[in-house]
Amino acid sequence: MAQSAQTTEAAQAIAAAVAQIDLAVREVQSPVESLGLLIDQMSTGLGNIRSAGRRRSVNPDVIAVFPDEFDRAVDKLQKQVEGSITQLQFYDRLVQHLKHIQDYLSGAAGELASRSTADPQAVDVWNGLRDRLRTRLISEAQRQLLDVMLPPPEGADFDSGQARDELAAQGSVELF
Amino acid sequence: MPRILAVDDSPSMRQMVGVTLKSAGYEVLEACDGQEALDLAKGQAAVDLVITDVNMPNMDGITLVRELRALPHYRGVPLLVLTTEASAEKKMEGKAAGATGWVVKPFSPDRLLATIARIVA
Repeated sequence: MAQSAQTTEAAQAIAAAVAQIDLAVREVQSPVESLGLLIDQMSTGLGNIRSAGRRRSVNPDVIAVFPDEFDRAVDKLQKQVEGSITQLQFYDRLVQHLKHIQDYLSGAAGELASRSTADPQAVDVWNGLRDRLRTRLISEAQRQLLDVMLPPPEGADFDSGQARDELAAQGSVELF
Repeated sequence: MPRILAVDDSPSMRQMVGVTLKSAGYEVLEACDGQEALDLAKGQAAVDLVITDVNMPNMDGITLVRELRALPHYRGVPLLVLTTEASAEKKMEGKAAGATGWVVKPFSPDRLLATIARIVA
């Protein structure tokens, strides 16, 4: 009876953690969208500056101060906007990673709430949940961390080297 | 200027793809999942390229590619997958469904634009 109560509490604790992750992701969504909008505006502004730069060949008075420095500054700003676009995508990766963790935790909480820990079938369910999470993780580092924290069941053979070889690099492009 | 349909359930990703494409002068249509993209396509939206994520609610990107390839007016349209999914298995699934190419996030804007210029040209 005491174990059953503990199991229920554990399930509730996990469900609470899942809800907190969800809230954290939702709270940061709006600022990140604003950041995206700022990058959008910078990119548009940059386009306008470039257009103005092109017009100076027609009317040198439009932008008459140090044309070389102007070009260098615009190029530098362009690189910075492009860098911002690449870096902001790591937020998307974070959200995706957290969603997979939430799914895993929700599944674990559901199992705790509905099964007795003595149930022999429970082992398969836990292993199934772990396998699903491992498959959905999006980087080798994430998978290695899972293997360390929650080692695969005896007999399971995860070849991390092979998995790494099969993974395409971030930012890679392949045309079929 | 070519028109591109960008499909992603993440608003920030759609924004980043949109900024990148618009900076190069492309016209951009957006859809938040595979189903919305397919509805747009079935509604005769003519595009020169589709860029789609894989993991999305309602309809995933691989299914979208397969469904688009079944539409007569999308048979020749390039379909580029832009995803965090980097496994060879998933990539082969995309290729079998009819994808034109596979780009792993996070993308670099200049590299993405160079790839698009190659495909759309």
